Amino acid sequence: VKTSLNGLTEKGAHGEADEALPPWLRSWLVVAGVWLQVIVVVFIVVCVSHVKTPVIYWVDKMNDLFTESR
Amino acid sequence: MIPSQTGHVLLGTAVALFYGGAVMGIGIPLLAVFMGRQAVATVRARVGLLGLLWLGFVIGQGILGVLWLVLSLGGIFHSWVIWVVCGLGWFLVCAMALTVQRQDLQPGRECWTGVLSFPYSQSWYFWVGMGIVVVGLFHGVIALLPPWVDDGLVRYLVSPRMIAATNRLEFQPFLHPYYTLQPLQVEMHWAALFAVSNETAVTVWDYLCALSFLSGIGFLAWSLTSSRKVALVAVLMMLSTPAFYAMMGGGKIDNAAAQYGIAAFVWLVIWPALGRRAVILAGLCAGWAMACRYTNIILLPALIVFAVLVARSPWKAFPVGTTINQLKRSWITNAFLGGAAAGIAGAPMLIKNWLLVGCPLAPLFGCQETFWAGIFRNVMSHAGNISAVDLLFYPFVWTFATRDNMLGNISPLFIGFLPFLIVIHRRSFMVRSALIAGLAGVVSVTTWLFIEPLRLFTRLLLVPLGLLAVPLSASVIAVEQDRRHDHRVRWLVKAAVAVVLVFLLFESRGVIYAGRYLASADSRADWYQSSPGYDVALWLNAHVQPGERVGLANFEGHRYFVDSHVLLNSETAEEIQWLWEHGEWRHDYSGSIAPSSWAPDFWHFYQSRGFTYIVIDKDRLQEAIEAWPDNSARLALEVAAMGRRSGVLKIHKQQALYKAVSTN
Repeated sequence: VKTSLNGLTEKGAHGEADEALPPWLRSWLVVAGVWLQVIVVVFIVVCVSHVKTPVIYWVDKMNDLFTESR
Repeated sequence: MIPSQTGHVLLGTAVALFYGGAVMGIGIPLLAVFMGRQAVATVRARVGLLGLLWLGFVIGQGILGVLWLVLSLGGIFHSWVIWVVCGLGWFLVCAMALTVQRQDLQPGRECWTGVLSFPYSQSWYFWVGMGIVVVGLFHGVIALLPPWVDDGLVRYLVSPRMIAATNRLEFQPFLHPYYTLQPLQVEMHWAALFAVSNETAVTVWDYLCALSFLSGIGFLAWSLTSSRKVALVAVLMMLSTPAFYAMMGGGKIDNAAAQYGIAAFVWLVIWPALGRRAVILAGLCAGWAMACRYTNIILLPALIVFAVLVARSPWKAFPVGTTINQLKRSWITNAFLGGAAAGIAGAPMLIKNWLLVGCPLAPLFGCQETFWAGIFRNVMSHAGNISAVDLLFYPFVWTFATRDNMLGNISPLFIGFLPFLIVIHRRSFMVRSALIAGLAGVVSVTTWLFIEPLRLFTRLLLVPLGLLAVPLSASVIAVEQDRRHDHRVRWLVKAAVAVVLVFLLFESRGVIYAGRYLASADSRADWYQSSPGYDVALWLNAHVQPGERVGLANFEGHRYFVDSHVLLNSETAEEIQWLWEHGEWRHDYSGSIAPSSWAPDFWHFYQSRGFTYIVIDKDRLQEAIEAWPDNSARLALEVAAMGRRSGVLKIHKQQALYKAVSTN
């Protein structure tokens, strides 16, 4: 059986299960999943249509502002 | 009857594959000789048989790169020498195949059985793996196209092509802004392939090196976590990075350079089991990474941090381990050996510069009064591409924004997976193990931010991205595998990965153009017709006779299109130095150096040096013609050709027939 650096195997770490997450943190995983979906979809929309995301739009606005002030 | 273009592409592909086999054939025996049979078995136990083959492939590249450099500096870089070395490599492959014993084949069989049983496991990851394979194959077909990245056409491909044409590595005055003074570890392989074949061999080889980099990430992830799923998702993260997949086979050195960096980290993972030999090999790989790109110096602090964490990890897991105590005692020795190995691998590039121009660290340090150092300074002073505001939003700018010369973003999976890592990093054994790579990645990126905070070129940070991919993918796999978690999380992750794979298939649509090119439905001219300088270069290639000199200092086109005989008859280093000193010169990204105002002195210069053709930016043609000196009694000037962006002026050795020519 292949063993990794910390003694991990395909079956798990030293036969132990990972520590359980507290319930409030588990719900955050759903939020993380939604975040992942949003990021992926926005990325594809940006790549295909070359529109700017709101964050990049405001970053570019600020860049323009600083350039003008110089 | 196979069309000549199709035959050309197929031949190049075959040569690249043959060359790859020879590189592996040389690397693996060298590795075995250096390490010994027992150590080879240890490496195979850590990274598997395929991992061992991959490490041999990378080591073979490193060794051959140095050999090609030595041969080219000696002026004996002949195609027959390269064929002999490749033949030797294949002889060693055959010898290994014949001497391999039945028990040696067992791990390979097990590995293959594992792969073949994957479809029957009904694992969703099988389909992810298949998606990665399909996208990878599509990019392989796309690599059959002529090189498309501007940087490659301006410089990276020109240098090896000229080395192959002249059988010698020299200072190349026509090659702005590096003139063969940049590290050439990757380009030496391209030069070898140009010498024995054609550009398709180079692009396919570049693609193979990119695949090798992906494999390296997979092996690193696997060796840290023992999870094939983590390795698969880490590979997907890099494959979905536009700055990576857009360069596969494109004629840029970065994907190939990144192999060495990842290999150095894999050697450090094996270090506790293998001892000093692994440190030496890690040092060699780190040195070769820097011999590809000086910017890979950002890997050094990361390697140190990684080594410290690797040495600590087994100590925590196995407190009784005497090996670790020995490792602690010999820490300084190991650091010295690793550093010395890196120095030995990197030194040939400095010696090369010393031989070419007398300044080992040129063009960065030394020889600063020369034209090439001046031009290099000029280029570097304009290299920043992001602002301080961009710096504040670094991950978002890196993922979503387009900045000058950035040449691609990172995969959305990097910031997409980040919340999973934040939530779960303390509670999963697998993620904790993978975090070692992540910390090294963070150190590497931070080092870059200290050196060049306002330069965001994804291609320079491929190795840190590969390192960061490991804990991120481990965290997602840990969440996805834990049945105690909400099932919606699993579906959200699976859906995101599926969407990314579909997007990657869409992004591989270049395979259609590649198919047309392979079938000779599209020609090379169709592919390049809108590229800067292609028209003028074709005209020069067809019309410049042997012995005729061509002034190319003002040429605003890609040097790659210009034949070697034309480039060799352009301005010498001494002539460009004169031009640099006698005019106020402007720099342009394309590689041209144009005078701020044309004066008769420039024409006297070109006349006295026996130039026949001068290429000038079309917008400045009229100004140049008007500066033609009246006292050129036996010489005349005429417009010989007019391209989209540049014109070609011809100096006739006849009676003065000058007349102003309209450029409209």
